[in-house]
Amino acid sequence: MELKRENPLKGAFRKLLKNKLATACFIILLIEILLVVLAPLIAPYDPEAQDVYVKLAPGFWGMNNTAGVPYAPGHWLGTDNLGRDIFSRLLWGGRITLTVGFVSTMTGLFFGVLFGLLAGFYKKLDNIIMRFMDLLFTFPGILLAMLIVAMLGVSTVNATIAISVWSIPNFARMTRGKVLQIKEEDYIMAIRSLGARDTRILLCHVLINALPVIIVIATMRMASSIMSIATLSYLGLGSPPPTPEWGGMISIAKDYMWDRPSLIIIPGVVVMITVICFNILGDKLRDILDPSLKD
Amino acid sequence: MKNLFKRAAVFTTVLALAGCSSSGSNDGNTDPNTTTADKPFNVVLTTAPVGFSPLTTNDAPSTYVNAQIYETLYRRSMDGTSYEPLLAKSEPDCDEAGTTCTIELQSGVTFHDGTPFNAEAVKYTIERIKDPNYGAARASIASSIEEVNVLDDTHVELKTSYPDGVLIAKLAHANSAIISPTADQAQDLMTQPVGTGPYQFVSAISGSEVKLTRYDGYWGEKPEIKDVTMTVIAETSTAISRLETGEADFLPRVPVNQMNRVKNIANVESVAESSSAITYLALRNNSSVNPKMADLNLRKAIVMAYDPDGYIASVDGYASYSRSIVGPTLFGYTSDAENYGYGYDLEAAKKLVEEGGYADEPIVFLINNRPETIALAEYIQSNLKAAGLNNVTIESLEWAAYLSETQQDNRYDITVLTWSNVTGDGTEMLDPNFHSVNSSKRVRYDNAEFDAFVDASKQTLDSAERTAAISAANKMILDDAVAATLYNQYQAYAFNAAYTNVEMDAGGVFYVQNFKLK
Repeated sequence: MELKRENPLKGAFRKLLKNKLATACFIILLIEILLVVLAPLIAPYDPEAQDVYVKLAPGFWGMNNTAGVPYAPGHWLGTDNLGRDIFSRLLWGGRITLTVGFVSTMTGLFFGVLFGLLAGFYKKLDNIIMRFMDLLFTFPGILLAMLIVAMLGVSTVNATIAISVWSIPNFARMTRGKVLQIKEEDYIMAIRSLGARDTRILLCHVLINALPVIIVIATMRMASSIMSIATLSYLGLGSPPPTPEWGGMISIAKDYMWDRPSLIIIPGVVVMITVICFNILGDKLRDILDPSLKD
Repeated sequence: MKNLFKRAAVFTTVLALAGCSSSGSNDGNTDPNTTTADKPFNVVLTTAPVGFSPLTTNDAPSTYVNAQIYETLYRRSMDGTSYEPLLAKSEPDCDEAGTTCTIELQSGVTFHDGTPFNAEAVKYTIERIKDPNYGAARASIASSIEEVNVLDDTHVELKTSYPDGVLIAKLAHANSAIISPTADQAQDLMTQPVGTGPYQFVSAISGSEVKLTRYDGYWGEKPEIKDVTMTVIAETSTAISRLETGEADFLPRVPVNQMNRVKNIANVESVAESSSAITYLALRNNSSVNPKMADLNLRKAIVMAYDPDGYIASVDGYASYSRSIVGPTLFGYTSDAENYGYGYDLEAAKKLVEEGGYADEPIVFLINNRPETIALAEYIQSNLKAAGLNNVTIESLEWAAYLSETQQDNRYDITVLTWSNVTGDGTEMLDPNFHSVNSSKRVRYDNAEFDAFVDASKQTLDSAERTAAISAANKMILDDAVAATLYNQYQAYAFNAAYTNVEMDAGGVFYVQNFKLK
């Protein structure tokens, strides 16, 4: 007798594309990722190259300006306080923001899922692991991240570590809940009575069935991780200057928002769109993959 | 999802309405006609004062507060050209050798705690400054004074180890303000200050607010403004908004990159003028992170890579540049200094980097986290990159942490330092910043020859001799590339147009007692 394993992800993607909003978000994110990956080819300037003589220039909307700071040809989204090209910084900054978002989510996912699986599956470990997760949960996320960065020092890598740590309990708690539920299913009992080992049960049966939940959380966490790195950089705890990072760009721009509001609006809107898209995708994925989680 | 949009729409509308109503009510407060002498004068500081003891603090925000509470024996005139007696009645009367000076003091002056101000208080203060266990921020102020003798209540005699050319300048320094001996023994002046000044301390919330009120027993002219509140708002942008809404009356420090915005605010006057403050790049040739910093050529390359014109353009011309580390407004400046050391020369810098193989040398650039410092540091970093130094890392720290970290051993390679120079004397730039014994030990310039020049500049009353010594020390420090001018500051401040006579002296200190209502 052979147990037929059903892949819960099958068809999910097709269902997702049936939803217009989700499709739109998916395309937006795809374009964004493409632009960011191709930044070295597309970006017209070195993101750190300064030309203070064209500082705070308006973007294409100011091409016909007769008063005030003139448009600087080539800088079609304008320049910042040190005359750096906003468009190039946005592209290169996206590399950092999205990479940190992705890497920290994946690191959080790896450890979170591992802890969640162990805690859910082995009763003895449950208390130890979950109380530790509760400990992490008691700190407001951004405070925990600030604490970690303060201890390790300001750098992009340390910010990534901080955000990863902050993501772990979310994954752990959701995975554990799902594991507790799956553990009691008849098919687990069946495979166990066939003599399967724990590792096989955990990886091939429990994990596979918990995957939908994990994917949904990962998509949502992606949004919060991006927000987190932007926040940390805004507070001066993320990527150190002059690294272009969306939150860092907003942080610099706040001093000039009266002279040149576009400096703060452009990266702000980009962060907003990215975060909203990831959230909507997560939302829709949840509806499709795990209806039990809906509201 | 529809539900989500609906909720978002309602939320946005509520926010928008709230925004309207709050700005509506603010309009009522901006009417300058409502300003009266009884309304507290609101000063907004962008950095919190460290404390309220004039002897143990040496940061600008603390001086802003302490200058209202305490008084010195002499005070620099507002234009910075001379010193006027304050708690002293006249200039010191020195003997022929110039080492024994008698100072006559004002009579009828009392501290806020009722203690009479007299020769004993002067003796007590100077001895405190000299006491190594007391932790005075500027012990060098009293380093030349060997003995303080009380002749009678209103006469004090100072015996100096040499004819001290900067004695008056030092006695005019905010860090030599006279403290109440009884108060100093009974309480911590850092939190409960007692001075002889026109304003007395009411209350303070650490890091957030200081309240002062007029001292009725003040010996001098009674100030027009009764209550003074100093509020700390770290966000410059928010601080300026306060000025806009009328909640703030005075911003003693407006970053020059904000001047365009400040100039356009109705009922607010703004001033940007040159000052004696200098912002310079300090290069550690010793106790640095990267031992290569000991190479003169590396330091030279760093100095030569900096393009001052570009920076001045980036701050809309609200700064000037003189190569001399003893700025043009200071005593001891000579125009020869413009040829000392190294000016901007990108090609020469590139060559030095290439020859020395410095391209990938890691350089730790430690700075404070003020937005304008970060922008300056990024500018310098890009200049250095243009010269081929690709591995400069900026590390920014919060103000108090920055002050202590920059004093640590092997902590940084280059940093940006600012010196406001309250006294306007060249020695007061060189001694506290670079002298191997007397300085704050941020820049580790351990050079006995340099120290000798600085000491010589102090130990004579002869102006020409002093100028020569300061000039020689200035040349040495520039030639050794341990410090290089980044720019000479403009001090910019803004105030509610309902007030008049609001001004800051060239050393960046203000006295609310002079401010008047229009």
